[in-house]
Amino acid sequence: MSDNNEIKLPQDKLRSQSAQRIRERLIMASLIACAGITITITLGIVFILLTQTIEFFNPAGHLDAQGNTSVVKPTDFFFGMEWNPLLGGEKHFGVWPLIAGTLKVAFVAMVFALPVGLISAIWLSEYAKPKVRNFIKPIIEVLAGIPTVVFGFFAVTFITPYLLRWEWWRVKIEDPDNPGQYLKDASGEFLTEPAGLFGLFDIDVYNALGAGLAVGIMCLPIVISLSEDALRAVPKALREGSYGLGASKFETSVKVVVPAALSGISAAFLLAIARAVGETMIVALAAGASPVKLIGQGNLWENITSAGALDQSVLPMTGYLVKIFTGDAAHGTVEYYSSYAVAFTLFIITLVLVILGNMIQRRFREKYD
Amino acid sequence: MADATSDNPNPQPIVRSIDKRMRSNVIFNGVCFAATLLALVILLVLLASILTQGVGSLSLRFLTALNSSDPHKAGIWTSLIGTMAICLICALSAIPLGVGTAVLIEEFKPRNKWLLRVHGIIDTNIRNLAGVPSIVYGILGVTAFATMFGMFGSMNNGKYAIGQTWYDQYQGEDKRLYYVPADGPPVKGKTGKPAEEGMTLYLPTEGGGIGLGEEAAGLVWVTAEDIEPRVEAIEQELGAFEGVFREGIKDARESRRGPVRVDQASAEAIVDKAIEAGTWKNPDTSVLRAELLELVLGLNGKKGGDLIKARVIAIDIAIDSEYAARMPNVITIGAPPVRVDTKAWYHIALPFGRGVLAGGLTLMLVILPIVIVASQEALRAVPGSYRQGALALGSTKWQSVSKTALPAAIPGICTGTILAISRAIGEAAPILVLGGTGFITSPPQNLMDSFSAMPMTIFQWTKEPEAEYKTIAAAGIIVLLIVLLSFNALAIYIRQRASQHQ
Repeated sequence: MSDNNEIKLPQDKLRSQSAQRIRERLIMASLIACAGITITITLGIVFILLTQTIEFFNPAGHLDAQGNTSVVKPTDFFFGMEWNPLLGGEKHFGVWPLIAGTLKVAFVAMVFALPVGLISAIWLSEYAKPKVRNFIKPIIEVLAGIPTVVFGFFAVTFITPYLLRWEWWRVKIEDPDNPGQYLKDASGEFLTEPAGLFGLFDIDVYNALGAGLAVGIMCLPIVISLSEDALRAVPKALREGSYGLGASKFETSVKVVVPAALSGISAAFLLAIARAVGETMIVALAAGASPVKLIGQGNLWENITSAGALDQSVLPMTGYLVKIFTGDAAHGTVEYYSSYAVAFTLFIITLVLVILGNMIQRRFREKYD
Repeated sequence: MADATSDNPNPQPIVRSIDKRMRSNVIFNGVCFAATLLALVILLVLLASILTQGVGSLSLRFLTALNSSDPHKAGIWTSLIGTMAICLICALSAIPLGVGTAVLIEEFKPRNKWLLRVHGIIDTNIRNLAGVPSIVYGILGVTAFATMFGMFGSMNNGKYAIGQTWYDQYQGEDKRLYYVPADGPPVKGKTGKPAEEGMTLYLPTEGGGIGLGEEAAGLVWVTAEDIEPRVEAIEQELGAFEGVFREGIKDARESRRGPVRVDQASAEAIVDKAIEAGTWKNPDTSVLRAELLELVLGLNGKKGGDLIKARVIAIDIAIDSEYAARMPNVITIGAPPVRVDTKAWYHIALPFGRGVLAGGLTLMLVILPIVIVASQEALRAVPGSYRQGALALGSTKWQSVSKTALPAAIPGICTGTILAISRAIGEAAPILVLGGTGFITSPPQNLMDSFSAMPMTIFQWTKEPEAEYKTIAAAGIIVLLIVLLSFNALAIYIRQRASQHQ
């Protein structure tokens, strides 16, 4: 057995070479097919969004839910300040109210997630002992693995009710007849009104603040882990040089490590903003359904402050998409096509953020690799 | 600062400044630690709030019950099965596609300058695609899979169907359903062909489902006209019974035009006499006797036309009793059939519609970039010397990849893939866009069947204003998180097993 095989084996190998070549060709072909499908999908997204958006701007117009023909010009859409597609009467398809809604939510999210995330990352990277870090990092990864619908539930059942309960943000109402006295209700309790401050604390059941905080919590792990990666990629020599010059840990972190990792940190921030802008489920559950009113409220200052108010129900781009695709518009109507134009806008905004983020990230990786 | 200290001979400020600097260091450490702690506290509060809200509704009944419009009866089973089905399709499509693409991009870099540029563009694009919001993929899925650009007609009227069997469903006068194999879907404006005499009908499959069960042997009459002569024949044969019965109730009258007066004994006598006079093929006359007795006792105090009616009813009762015995294996079918179908689990039609297959493929779009990037990184982590060693030993390019680089990268690919699939399990937005708001109660039966996934159900429950829905939504979240946790545990296990094999 042993002798025969030793001679036979190479012969088998030799004979199988042409078969081997054919098999390799087949494998290559299937690999190319896989890559081909992937590329088709990539192009498909752009193709579908683009063609359907162009169809939305068809000069012949589309029927709306009431059976009238509506024509939407690209300039009306991309520069329009009014959005009311579903109500009767005159329709307006200006996308800015939706973008403003998205920005409100993303603003709250980032005001929370970026500073908290960055200084958490600094602590994990610079201060925490390896044992502690190895304990905390998996916990933060658990936070990253929680589905976004869970954060939406959290926003609706915990954050917003909690905000609604914050009585101490309200102030007592002064009696107009007796200065220095405060109005009371029948049972002797003081009457209160919201404390103002851009109307921040007169909170609707659905509002940008609660949704934004939930989005911020969702983005927190992304900011932490990407920023920490950037901080840890800074060479040890830089830190040691700083310590050698007598700097404290605080000074080293803030004046040496963070500036050195700035490109990585800004990439992390950009990717987090992209996530916040594209977040759907939290917004669909907690942000509400009223488009931000950008016109018709007096002067520009009033418009900006009203657009900046976070206590009201807002309709972000993703919220509108969910609204349309869960049954608010029939197939082929102008409302239906408008969702593609909104999706296209959303796609472009997030893609720009992501491309920028990835570009910056790649550059900083190359710098220290 | 260095200048300041050298100019100042007094070291006092430096000491004070070090104190200050150390203090700011401690404060900064505290602030940073507090921020990290905040993240952990939020996670704790999140989990605690969900647990306290949901744990009360969590029970075996909740796990195994179907979805329902009543929050007290609703369960997670429907969407648990739905999630499993779409994630299985998603995994089966995304893993080969993603790993294949990653192998091609990482291992077979083209030498041609132009191809290399294309290669670079694809590589960057995939990375960027991973950051596209998932709802955009949902819209892509609706357009490409659910409606297929409207190329194949509407969603509810799929073309080129496979795994679908059509039957003509007849309803017999005995209220039972019978089936005959049919050749295709119903044609608009045409009713099915009426049943013919001698046609082979089949009983429903076991458990009463649609499909061919046992053969229902026998003749078939189509209309009442066909059945009439045969019923008349039975009626004539029962003439003797009818005569005696008529005489019996006539004799029971008080006078010629007076009302009928019967008691239990006399009624029994009339019925027994009539039955004795008839010729019966059905040996069991007890039902017939009981029905006739009831009829006669009901006649008490009646006269005239009621007696004639009673006679007609009596003969009907008698025919009913004899019908099955005199005409065995006969099914009477009036109305034309309804075209019905059964669908095998692999049933596919174009377009896919808002079904399981479209859902799984849409999720595939979402996780494909993640799978590719993870696999690329795993392959990149394998040292180049592995491949060079294999090539030096005379292996072909593919052999060096499949026998050295790929096996070494498997643990990394597995981990990345499983994390991607757990992302798919929790992903709600694309599924919501694809599935619409349909209220689904039963788990999907085939690839085209509509479905509900866990995140989608949780979303729908959370949106309901009633507090009961919030508690079952919390219970649903607990189940979802347990599924995700066990999935991640599986990832860790597989990774460890794979790295042990190395």
